[in-house]
Amino acid sequence: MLTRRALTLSGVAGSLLASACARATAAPSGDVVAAGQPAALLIWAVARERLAGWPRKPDAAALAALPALAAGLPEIGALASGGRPASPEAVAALKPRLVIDYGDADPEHQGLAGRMTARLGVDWRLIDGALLRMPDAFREAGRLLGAAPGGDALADAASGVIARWRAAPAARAFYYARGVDGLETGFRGALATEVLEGAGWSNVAQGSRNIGRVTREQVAAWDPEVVVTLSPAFARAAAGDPVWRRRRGGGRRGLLLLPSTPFGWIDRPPSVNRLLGCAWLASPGEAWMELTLLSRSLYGMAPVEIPRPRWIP
Amino acid sequence: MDSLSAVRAWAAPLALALLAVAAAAVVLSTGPLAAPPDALITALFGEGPPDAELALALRGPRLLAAMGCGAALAGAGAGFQILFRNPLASPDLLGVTSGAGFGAALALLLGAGAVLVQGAAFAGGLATGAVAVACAALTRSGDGRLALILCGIVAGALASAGLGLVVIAAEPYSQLPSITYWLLGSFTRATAGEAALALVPVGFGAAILLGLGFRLDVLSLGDEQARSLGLRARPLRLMALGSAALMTSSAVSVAGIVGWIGLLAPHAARRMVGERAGRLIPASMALGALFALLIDRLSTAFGPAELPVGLLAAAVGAPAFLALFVATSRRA
Repeated sequence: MLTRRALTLSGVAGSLLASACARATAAPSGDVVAAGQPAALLIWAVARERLAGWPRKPDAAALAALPALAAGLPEIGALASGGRPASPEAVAALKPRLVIDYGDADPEHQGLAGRMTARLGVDWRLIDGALLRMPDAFREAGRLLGAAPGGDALADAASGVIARWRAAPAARAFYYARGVDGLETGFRGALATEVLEGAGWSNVAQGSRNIGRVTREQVAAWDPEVVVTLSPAFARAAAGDPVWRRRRGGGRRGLLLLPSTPFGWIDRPPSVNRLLGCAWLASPGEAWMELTLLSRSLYGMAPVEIPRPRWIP
Repeated sequence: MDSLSAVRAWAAPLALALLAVAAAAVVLSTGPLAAPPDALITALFGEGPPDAELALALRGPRLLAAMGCGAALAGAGAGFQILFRNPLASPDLLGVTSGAGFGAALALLLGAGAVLVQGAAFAGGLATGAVAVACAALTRSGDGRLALILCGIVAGALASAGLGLVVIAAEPYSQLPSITYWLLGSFTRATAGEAALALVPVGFGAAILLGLGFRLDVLSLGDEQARSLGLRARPLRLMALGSAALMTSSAVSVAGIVGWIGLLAPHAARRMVGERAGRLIPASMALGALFALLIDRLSTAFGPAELPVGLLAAAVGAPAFLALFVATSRRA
């Protein structure tokens, strides 16, 4: 385990060095369009100077944590996935060299890639967004963006993190609370809870393998050991609420607030940001140096800006 | 025969109310937390097992929200139908529902907590209704009913456009699902305090509508008829409209957008108790509460994931309304 972590740390450090070298020989700036926010995060991690704009501009808190380049990029809308749609004509007017989509690689999205290539006259590359294939995604993005050393280094780091994350011992039974009232959740098998479930945490919500709403009584009946959230507002509201904190057997339920700035550690959007959640869950008490380096290489964040998970008392 | 009809007419609202209470007792005794009825009864007096106390604490606010919102929407719908002499009038006539949706979505976009979202929905609904009434006051078309309907459509359309803008601006992985779920409706989001807070304006609005009683019937005949009987039509109409809008706004702020109750319940009640406002409004409210209880129970009947009550209200309400319409037209 120690050797794996050492390899991961050296991989992350290598990615910093490689991305610095890649910047010296970078292609013209802002010539790659991200089809959606997941793709934007992938491009930002591998070769941020190539990103032409945000499908959706990060909020003020996220921009404050990211390098100044992030705030200077325009919002151009999304060509695929959710959010404000981009105007294809406006995208064509940017004269991008490449459009990258990162997410489902099913036939529907592959068909979209073909149609959009024909419509925009620009090469559209779809990269598989499966969590376990993140190392491959970094490598492919590195090659496409002319930043192969940086992409390879990130891929090596991701491989190490994912191997340790998958080997993590079975942990707690959790409920993932989303939305202002916490009653929106990811059911077992949903993309939103993949990071927690992959680390051996047991999702009490079983049903649709998607996002859905449940009742307070249903949460109480499931009686999770821990409620996990990315929302500070919900965490504040639930902290003193006996319905959320009192267990049926009489004990106190844990409330875990995971970081959501600049992007969620386990969710929102489903992109390379989830690697931080994997790294923390692989070894919650010992991963701080690794998280610092990962945050630095994924986002360019200064160590002082990096938030920590909080167990709400 | 006449006196027998009168007894039947008064007995119907009471019977419906008792039926709603009985249905509430059934709903209160079922749910994912296994708590037998006797345990729930002892928990009611603070001496039950922990699971029963928990079930009661969770089901109570939900029941309160469902019955209160159902009654409010149905009462407001009946009020609008009487005032406008239009069987298609519904609580959204002044754009109140769209305004409440816009207010809530805007609050969710700005990252507000649950209480603020509820407050923004309430304020948005009332503000949209006020815009419709103010615009109608600028016109001079007859007794103003047509102007109110048209201005309500305009105000609702503007609020819908604002809602669309918020949806476009929302973050697609967190804010957008929350806004969508809010708009689709749910009785589960309110805590006891929030449900009780919303029921105060519902009670206030219902008391005014019920207090107006026969004056609503007179108003429905037109302003000239009302004036000839010594009533001040304009202030009375404003009071009735304000009460109905208050009830609608409160209900939507708790439950989100739940359609059809305000249309279906008054029509069904009219068949039982006739047209007179003093009987139609309470009967509609009882039926609305009953219908809301039914769709709330259905919303969790198909697994742990809750089906949006707005969808269920349409899925159950639309065919029921059609059946009612067919039956009524055949009888006529």
